[in-house]
Amino acid sequence: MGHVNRNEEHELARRAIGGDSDAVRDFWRLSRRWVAAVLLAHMPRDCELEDLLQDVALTLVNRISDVRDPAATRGWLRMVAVNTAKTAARKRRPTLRLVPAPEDVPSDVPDLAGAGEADDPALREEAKRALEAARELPGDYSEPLLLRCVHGMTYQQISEALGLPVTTIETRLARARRMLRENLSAGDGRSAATGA
Amino acid sequence: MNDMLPTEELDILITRVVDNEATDADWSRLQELGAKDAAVWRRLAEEQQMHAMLCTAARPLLASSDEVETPLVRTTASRSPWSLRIGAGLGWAAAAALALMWYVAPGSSPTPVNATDSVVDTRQVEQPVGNLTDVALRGDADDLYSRYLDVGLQEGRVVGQLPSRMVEVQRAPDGQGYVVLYVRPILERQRVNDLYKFGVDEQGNPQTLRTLPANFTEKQTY
Repeated sequence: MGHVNRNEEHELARRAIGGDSDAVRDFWRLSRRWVAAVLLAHMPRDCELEDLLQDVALTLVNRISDVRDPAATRGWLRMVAVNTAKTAARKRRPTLRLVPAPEDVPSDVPDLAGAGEADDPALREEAKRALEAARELPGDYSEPLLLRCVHGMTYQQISEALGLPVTTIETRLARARRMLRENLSAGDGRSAATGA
Repeated sequence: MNDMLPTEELDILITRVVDNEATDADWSRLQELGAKDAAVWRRLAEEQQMHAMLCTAARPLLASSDEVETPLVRTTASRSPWSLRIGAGLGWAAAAALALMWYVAPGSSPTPVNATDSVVDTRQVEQPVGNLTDVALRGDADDLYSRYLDVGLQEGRVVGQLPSRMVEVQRAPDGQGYVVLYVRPILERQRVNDLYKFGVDEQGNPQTLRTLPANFTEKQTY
């Protein structure tokens, strides 16, 4: 779905709240990438992103009529995503492994864990490590950082989704990057110390 | 880097530049700081590189959300089954397996039951439905599968999920994405009065035969 401005988004939200199923679908398509970023920031590591996205989409369909102000729909959807991630953390199901069987996994299977698109394996590994480190940050910091990875998300749009002033967003982003850099450096130090 | 440089201010400036939110005034200030200490430019380059790496890793994951539609969209008949989220098929397989177990379990209905009758008919889900609430209440395969796991865990029947096994990955026939075949095993526990196995009688007709625990010694590995 192409880029829409603030007024168009609010109009879409208004129609969605009014029960227009096409508008609900379009609002979801407009929002799902940043919703994924919010989930990534808050969900447990061993949960499936797509499962949680399905849950959020279902809640959107079922409950969007409860939203009173179309301008608040983005913030409401973000809260749905945060709550979905937290609920997933509370009711994690046991995952068992009877016999480790890494040899069962075909070597030519593409990495479905989203390890990145970089061709260089070393760069890809580094990118993966950066993402993991970002997800380890407190949610207040990892969330704006990951939202910045969604194409076209400006400070203004992030502030609307999070219900925070733009100045707070940029302060959190600056601190998040500092923490991320320090954590990655600390990780490098530990790797060097252990000879990894 | 020079300790006299204002750390907080520099962090904010660099963040704005990395995020394409810097104003002319921000750039001027950054150049001023950079003139005092060239390490400022190294910091900027490092931050830009880190942001690029983060986006490199995150964007494929975020883009995967494009596969997730609202339940109403997913029920439209125009959508190819292969374009549904992977895993849905496995969910139905698990539900169908559950129904089959119900059929063979002692104490179940003596009337042969079509396995597909015991679960929600998938055709119902595929039909276009105008009422959103109706769709949501019925639930899709993933929703039902998830509920099965939750209820199974509560009742003690489901012990847990075992790691999935990839069977096959192929480029989708329309060139958009991949078709992934995988097995998602579930470990279940059930108490039964007797043990049976499938066999044949002297006329070669299929029949269930009472058996002993010793006949179930075959180990499965996952």
